[in-house]
Amino acid sequence: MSDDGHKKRNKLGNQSWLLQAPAISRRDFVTKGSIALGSGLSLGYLARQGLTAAHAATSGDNMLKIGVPVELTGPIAEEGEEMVRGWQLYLKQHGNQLGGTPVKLFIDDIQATPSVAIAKTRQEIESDGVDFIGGGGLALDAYAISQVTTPSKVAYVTSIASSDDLTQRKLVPTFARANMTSSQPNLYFGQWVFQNLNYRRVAMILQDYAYGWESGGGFQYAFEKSGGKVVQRLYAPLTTTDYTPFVNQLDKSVDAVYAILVGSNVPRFEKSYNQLGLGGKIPLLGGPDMADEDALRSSGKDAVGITFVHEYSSQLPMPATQQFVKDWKQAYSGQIPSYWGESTFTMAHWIDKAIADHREKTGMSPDAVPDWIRKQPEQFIDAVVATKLDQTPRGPLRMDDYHNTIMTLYIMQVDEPNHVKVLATIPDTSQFWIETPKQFLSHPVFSREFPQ
Amino acid sequence: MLANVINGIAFGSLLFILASGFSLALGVLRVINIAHGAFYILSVYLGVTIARVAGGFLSALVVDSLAIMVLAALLHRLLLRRFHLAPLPQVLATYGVTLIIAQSVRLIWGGYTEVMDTPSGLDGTLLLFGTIVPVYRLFLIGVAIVLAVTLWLLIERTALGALVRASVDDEEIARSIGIDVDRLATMLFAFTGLLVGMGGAFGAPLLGGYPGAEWEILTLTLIVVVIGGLGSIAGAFVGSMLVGILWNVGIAYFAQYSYFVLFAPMILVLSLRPRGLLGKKLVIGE
Repeated sequence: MSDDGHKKRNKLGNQSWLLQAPAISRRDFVTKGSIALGSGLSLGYLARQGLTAAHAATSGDNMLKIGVPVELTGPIAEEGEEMVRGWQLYLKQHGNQLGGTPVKLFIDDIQATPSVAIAKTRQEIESDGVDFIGGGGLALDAYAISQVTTPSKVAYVTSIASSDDLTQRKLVPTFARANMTSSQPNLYFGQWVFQNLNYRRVAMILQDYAYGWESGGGFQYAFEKSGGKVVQRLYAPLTTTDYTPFVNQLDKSVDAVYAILVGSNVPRFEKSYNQLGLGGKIPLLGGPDMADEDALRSSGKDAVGITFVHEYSSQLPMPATQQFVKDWKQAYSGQIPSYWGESTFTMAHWIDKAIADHREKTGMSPDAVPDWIRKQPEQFIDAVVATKLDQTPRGPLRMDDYHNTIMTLYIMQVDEPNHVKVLATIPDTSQFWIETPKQFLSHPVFSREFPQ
Repeated sequence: MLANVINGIAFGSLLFILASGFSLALGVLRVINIAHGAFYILSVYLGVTIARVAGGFLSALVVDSLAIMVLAALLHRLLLRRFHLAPLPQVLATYGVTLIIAQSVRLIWGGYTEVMDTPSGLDGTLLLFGTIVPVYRLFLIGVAIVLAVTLWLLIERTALGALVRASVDDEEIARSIGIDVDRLATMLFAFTGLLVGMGGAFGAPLLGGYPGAEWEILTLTLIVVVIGGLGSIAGAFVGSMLVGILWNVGIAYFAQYSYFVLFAPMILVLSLRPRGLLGKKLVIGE
């Protein structure tokens, strides 16, 4: 942490420190308390006063500079913070190097606002001279960042943004995703539910925006291809305060209800579901966000009974997962990492190995790595895509030809408050499910209109 | 249909508890309190912690009400008093206060969603007219009715209420007969804080707190006040019930247009009857 902190403050010398102050102060505030905050600001001030030249000489050009535009304020601030921590924990554990090259992170708050994401990414590329971009949690922000990186030929790897088309119909050669698509886990889940739970008729409630449509669409597509039938679909706005009318609306004759809601909507929905007497009567199925670490924490006993699919859980029994969770808790005062942190940590691992492999293959010196990534972004992305990870906190990982992760999925059930058990493990899952890419891409992206 | 109406009334009751303070501050004191939603989330997070530590909904309710009341008194004394009858500075100042409170809540409690456990004894369900209604929602209906009657009596039937009405109707005369208008205003604003604090405690098991709730609660409150009309307890009550019922019944018949259901009535009222269904004509400024 101290090393990264130092880097962060150095960065202040490069640019208007006033603009950076909110993001910096918050992180320091959280991790080190107000004394660090004061010293951070005064260091920034000193840097502005004339330490810039000295710093430029020490950092040099052989540092690998990574732009991390990320949502540190706004609705996913906590998750954005986890992404930063994922980067920092991995770097701390590995001598602040990726593939043998020392690393400097440029962390900027994009406020969950696409226009800010564009401005910050541009600033990182043009003023800070970063070699590639590794941030952006929300799909909207990822598209905004991609609008800058694609024309300026800068490599962009995301650890979270799951919008299907980023690695499907709108894939660009300078992009890769170390995470699942929105529909990917739900496709397999729909098939699994039909085959193993023998449900035939399902009602759905989806959060009313692209993530909800793609997740629910994936579930419905695979469930119906397997032979089941979705008899009802309800769309709940992100700002729904009271879920009672939606729960009242649900068709009570179905075998199960599938829900994909996010953030604070999850506990409120589950509360209404149980209060109106559906809990325990009609089984509840869920996409990843219905029972991730945050949802389990805020739902408590209301989440018990839900069966869901995810790429990761901090409660997976593998040693690699448990070691990771232990390290994280130790580094961040007991916080339990959700997939936001895990996925970013794993992305750092992925890039680390990709660079190391490439250097081994070509005999490239560590000093030449930043230049290579900046001048040959497509080669760098190809190197990441070709890299396989045998062991990560969420199992073995590799990428498909469309730069998306092939991973193990876990079907789990919440058996008591804040506790899950694994019901099934599905290895080697692809964003195209059991179809060929050509078949899969011949139909439109999942939306309110598709599948019907 | 009946199920939707009953649940709508219950939701409307919570809205009334939340909106009554805002309506009083704006209608009587002419203070636009943008920090209303921030008071709510502070109250929720505080309440959840108190309920966990002291173990009970009642202690959360008491601590919340008092804490937000003190906060509101301080806010009025230190800041809002300078902006008497100046709506734009009020909006900016309380907007700033919102940002400060919301960020402080994140620093103290983290940005996690917190929903309070439903108070024991109120967590069951009842079969009412052939439809399932959670007991806690019925309880909220009772609270809202008691609160509405109390507020109305307080303002219309007590000496304190008379003082308040007098200083609002003619400040100069009120001063000249020895009413300390400033102190009265601070007291009344503190009282609206107490109402929001209560609203936070009552809302914690139903809506909970989460990043961004400060703006959502403010929006809901504004919709209620715009529809019902300003400064009248009856207006806030009618507005809350209407919004609650419309939301529930609207979803039942037009689930795909749920955004529309909430905002369309507001636009309709704004264009046909700008002062709201039961509102007084409001003049802010000198």
